[in-house]
Amino acid sequence: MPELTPSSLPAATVEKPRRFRIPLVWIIPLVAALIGVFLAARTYYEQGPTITIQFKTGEGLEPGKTRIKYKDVDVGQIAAVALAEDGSHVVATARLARQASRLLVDDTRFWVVSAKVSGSSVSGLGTLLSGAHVGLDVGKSEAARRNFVALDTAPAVTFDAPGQVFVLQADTLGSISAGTPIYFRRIEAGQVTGFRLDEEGKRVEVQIFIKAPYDRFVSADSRFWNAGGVDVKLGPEGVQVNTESLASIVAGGIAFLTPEGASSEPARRNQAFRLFPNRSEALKQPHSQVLSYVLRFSESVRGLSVGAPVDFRGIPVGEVTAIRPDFSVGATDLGLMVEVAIFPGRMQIHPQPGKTTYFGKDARSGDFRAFSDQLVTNGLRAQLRSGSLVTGQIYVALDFFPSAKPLKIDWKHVPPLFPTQRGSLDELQTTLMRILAKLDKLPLDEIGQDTRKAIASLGRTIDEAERLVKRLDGLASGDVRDTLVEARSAIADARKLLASDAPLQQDMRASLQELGRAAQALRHLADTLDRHPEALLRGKPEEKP
Amino acid sequence: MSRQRPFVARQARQAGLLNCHICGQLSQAPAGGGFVRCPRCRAPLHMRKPASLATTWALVIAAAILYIPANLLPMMSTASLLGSQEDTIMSGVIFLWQSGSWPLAAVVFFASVMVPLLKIFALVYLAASAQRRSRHRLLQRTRLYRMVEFVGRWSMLDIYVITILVALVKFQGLATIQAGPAAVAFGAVVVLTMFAAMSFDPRLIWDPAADSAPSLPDPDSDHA
Repeated sequence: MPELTPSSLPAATVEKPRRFRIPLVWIIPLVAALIGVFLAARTYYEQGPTITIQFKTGEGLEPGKTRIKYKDVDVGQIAAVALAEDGSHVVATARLARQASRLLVDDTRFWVVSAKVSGSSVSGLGTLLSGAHVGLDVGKSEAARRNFVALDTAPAVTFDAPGQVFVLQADTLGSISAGTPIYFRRIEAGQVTGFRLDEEGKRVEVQIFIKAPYDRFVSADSRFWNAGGVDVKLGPEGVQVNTESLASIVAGGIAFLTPEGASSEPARRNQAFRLFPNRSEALKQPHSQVLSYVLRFSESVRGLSVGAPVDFRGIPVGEVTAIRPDFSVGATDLGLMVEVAIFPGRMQIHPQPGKTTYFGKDARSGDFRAFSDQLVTNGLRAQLRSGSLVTGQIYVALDFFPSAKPLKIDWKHVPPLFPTQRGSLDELQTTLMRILAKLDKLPLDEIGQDTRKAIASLGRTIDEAERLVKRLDGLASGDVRDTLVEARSAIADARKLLASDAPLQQDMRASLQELGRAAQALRHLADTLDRHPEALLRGKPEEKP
Repeated sequence: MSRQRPFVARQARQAGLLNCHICGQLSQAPAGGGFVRCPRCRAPLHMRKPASLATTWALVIAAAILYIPANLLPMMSTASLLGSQEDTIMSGVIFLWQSGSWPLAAVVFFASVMVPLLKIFALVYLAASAQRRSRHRLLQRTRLYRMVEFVGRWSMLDIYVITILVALVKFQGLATIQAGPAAVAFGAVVVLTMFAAMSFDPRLIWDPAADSAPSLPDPDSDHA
């Protein structure tokens, strides 16, 4: 093997060095860096604000999964769910998309959307499969905010829904709850959005929302009433059943209406209205003017309650506002003072809003006093009358009693003292008492004895009459009846005898036929003897075949 | 008498010899350098891979940059009736871990997160030490290089899984799976690290040792 030396190897061919080039390989990290920068920039740009939302419970909230949706569009997701430091609530941290940052204003609301089935609606069925998500409703405020407290339930009305918000003041909540529908002429026109008790706990304030276009039918004079359930009225026209809709029977409801002739000026936002318990209460004429009077009754007011109507020949014109005893020193008997409020507006011939004249007089002026005095002089009095014999409720009636003692309204008394007339019930009672006293005076015992005697003699008379009748009865029976019976049987026999199928007739017919046949036989004999006289000796000749 | 001394060159480079990668022809390197070709088959000849370190650095840096979006962006987006969901590599690992499939979680974590990361670190270490002409742990570094090259293709596990899932799960309306942007980045990381390992010339590890080799028999001259 020859020694391998470098000199025995061929030399490599040398070429001219190529021109210097930028090592292309550095383009790769450059491109990677560009991609990286682009991704980072995009991520930074897309990165929206991070907010915290307080929830009562963490039900349905899954970090990294639960979405936040506005109008059913994904705007973010819950990144973390943690218990608050004091453990009273749950704090969820949410990351929102960049374009969602303008949705996060001071009054933006959040709530958990999950499947819900209530008396009148079913919602959120989609969440049964996909799990709950967080709903968002953008507020109207300008101020940005990053920490929110979630609502317990979905708001009934979103901020962007066109319409108006009003407040109803009610004594009790009744069957109203958030979401209770509000009807206008039986059209669903809005919803109850919430309610709260006032500071003193005496009234309930119900917030309602009336959708456009119905909100413009709410005027400053509109009346709201509780329209839930069924309103059954027994009137002269028969039984009347009033309901708003089938749903309102079950779930309750509120209705509103603007009475005829009331101002049609639209109500302002957040105006407070009274919530009346029923339609008739709500649609009473507005009590824009109230006149107070006091009535003094010396009879019992049992059955009269505060709120009982004051009516004039059937038209309710006011109501009882207070009942108190009259302890005036000079009075000979302890009377009862009944304060009433009279609404002169009820007596208007043509109600006109804003006018305070009644029967052409101003209610506050001396003119009206003179007019009232005139009425009282003509016999106008207040009287207690029984409204219902069953329940014993009584009411105050105004009526004319031309024969009443002349009295006047005591204008010095505050409020003015209006003359009264003893009640019809009271009078009836007195009359009855008088009748009873007279009855009591009657010699009832003697009358009773006489009557008994008379009855005894009458009994005897009847006995005698009975005996007489019996005797007559005996006379009528006997020979006459026997004769009659026999005559009837004789006639029956005769009829039997003469009947076509009677045996006598039958027999007679048979005998006659027999006689006929005998005569024929005799004729035969005579013929035979005529032709064969020998037969008399030799007998009948034999027949020759 | 150095001419009679045994041939001490331990590398072809020291002997001034070039080896053709195509036809195996040994040839003498010209003194001036420049662009040389094989005298027999005209293939380009070079002593070491040209610009090996620079290429390795470029590819490793690119891989390191892409490793970040590969891990942060969603790898796979699943859309089904129950809503849509996007998973990154780590969220998938966490899901597997929480659902009790610990071995699987470990495999995915190791193959998809640790291996690319370790590969990048290993390549950085190899390139940096070669550039500094370090003479430490030559054998271990060579072993590390072999490992990096061997393990290269195995970190494509995630990409394989996604490819199969995307193809299989296509029930329009019921459920669909789509590869996310991280899949591309992840694939790029794996490919780039493989190229980086390829472009790295392991002979560079030994060059510093070889350069000091002629004086090895004479320890004094090592310090001279």
